[in-house]
Amino acid sequence: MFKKILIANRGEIALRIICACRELGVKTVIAHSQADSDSLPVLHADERVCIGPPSCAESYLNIAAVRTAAEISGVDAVHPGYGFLSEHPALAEACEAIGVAFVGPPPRVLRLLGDKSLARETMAEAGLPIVPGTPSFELPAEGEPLGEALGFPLIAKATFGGGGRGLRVLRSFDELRSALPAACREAEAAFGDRRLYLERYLEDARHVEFQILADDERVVNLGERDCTLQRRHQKLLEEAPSTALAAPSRRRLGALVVAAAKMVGYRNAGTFEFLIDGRGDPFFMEVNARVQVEHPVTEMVSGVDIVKEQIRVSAGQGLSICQEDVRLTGHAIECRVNAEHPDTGTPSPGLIRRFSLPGGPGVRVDTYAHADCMVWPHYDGLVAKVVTYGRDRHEAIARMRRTLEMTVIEGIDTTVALHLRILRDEEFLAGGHTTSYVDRLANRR
Amino acid sequence: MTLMDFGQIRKMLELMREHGLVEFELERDGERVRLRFAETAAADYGPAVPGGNVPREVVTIEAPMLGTCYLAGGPDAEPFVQLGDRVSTGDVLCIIEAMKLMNEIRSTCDGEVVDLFVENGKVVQYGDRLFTIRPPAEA
Repeated sequence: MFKKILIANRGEIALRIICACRELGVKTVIAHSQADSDSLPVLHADERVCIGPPSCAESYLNIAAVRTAAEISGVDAVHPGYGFLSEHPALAEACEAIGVAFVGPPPRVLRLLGDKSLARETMAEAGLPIVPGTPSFELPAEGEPLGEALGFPLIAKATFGGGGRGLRVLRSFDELRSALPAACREAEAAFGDRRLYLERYLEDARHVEFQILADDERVVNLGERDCTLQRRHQKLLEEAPSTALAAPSRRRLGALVVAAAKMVGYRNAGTFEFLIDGRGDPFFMEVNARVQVEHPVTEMVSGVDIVKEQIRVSAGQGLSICQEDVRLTGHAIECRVNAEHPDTGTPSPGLIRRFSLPGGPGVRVDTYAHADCMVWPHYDGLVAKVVTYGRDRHEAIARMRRTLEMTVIEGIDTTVALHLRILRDEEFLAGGHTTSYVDRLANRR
Repeated sequence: MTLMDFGQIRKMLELMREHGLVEFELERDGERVRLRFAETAAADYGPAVPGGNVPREVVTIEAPMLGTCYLAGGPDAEPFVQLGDRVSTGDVLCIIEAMKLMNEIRSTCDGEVVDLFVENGKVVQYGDRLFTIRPPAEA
């Protein structure tokens, strides 16, 4: 097992990694920005290294600084968390260059899956159904005939994007023609590459994703999560299992995912995302080659510690479980408490003055926040992940409702009020909600 | 030096500054350390007098990156600067090495080097204080 790991991340996921490391007896070093010098993860890490000013580009996205931090602190491995550099082949390669393990898939797999268009083609070869779409293109002029042939509505995506960012829904050829130049520019600015691809847009779909863990010998499927509740393509609430899947579909998709992961030589933790259309047909979207924000939901229903398994795999010890060991029981829900206005989604950074979340049976809270804690504008607005578990969906929902009702956060706006509306709403309770649900809920007021 | 190492001296200087002390002396087992701020520091605590000693702002040079700080160009070379040296804007004060690249850290003003906060070959983090430069008094 590693002696020391560098955590190249911040906030709740940095704390999560510290938890796993402490349980495994591994020392931690955190590479942090100046803005996070007083944060809980920096407090709880065994060592700390300030690598840059508050701006992401100069700190958490700064590969040279992260690499220097790894070298200087003499670690055996780097855990990149999620977001930031977690899926950048360049960081994985920098780790290889200095003889340090990268807690994630190897660079070759990151390159393959990071090109979302190439990933689609690869998964199609592996037998996964994919959303009808176009190959990658660089110039708007190339995209126009491709889009026209594909048909509307369609969605334009950055080839090197992901995580629900840089998506544009286009409903006519005129919209396509006027939007493509800006979309290419934004892709370049956000992801360093202007290429785009187009997919048929599935309205009113369900978003279902499968969590896998892989070592040199096996790929283990930990079941699915339903992430249909999104606002502007950003997940708000996730649950496991999904009410959109009946047992036969669950088995079939799970088997396809395991086979595809084996085919690409996947290692470590990963998630295969699908959209399920109105007829119940699943379509592969992308692989998230990292640990995800919503991983606690799977941990609650499976009892598996995904981050510890990640560390075991990259330390060469292999997974501590095989498929036969996996038992999925009960129901879990995660609500993302973000620093934003519940109705408008306007970001609300600032100083948290009061912060109190209840415990009780079946409640887990992953957070870096506390009273007198700054939520900085430089980073994403996730303040806390509130996760509840119950023997069934009904109980998980009841637990989440009472937990959020008893939650006190003052000083910033949060999504708590929005979650409570959702958790009391008939459509959500019935389990038939789709990707348009959150917007329709807003319009119902 | 066994009585106080460099890190302890640095901490002592910070404490002195914090508490407005101008001079500190410690003697133990035949060894003695005396730390004294230059005369003009005392004037910093007096009222501003036209034509008299006016408190001068010091400029702190901070590390612009994480890395290893070297105070000289090579193991046997003379340090780039020493306490009391006069420097000009752009003069190299030290080098911070990161990923085998040597980055020259330059003074952002003219003045006298009045503080040194870092030991040769030690790691500095982003934002760590390296030097304090006191610009010359207005003529």
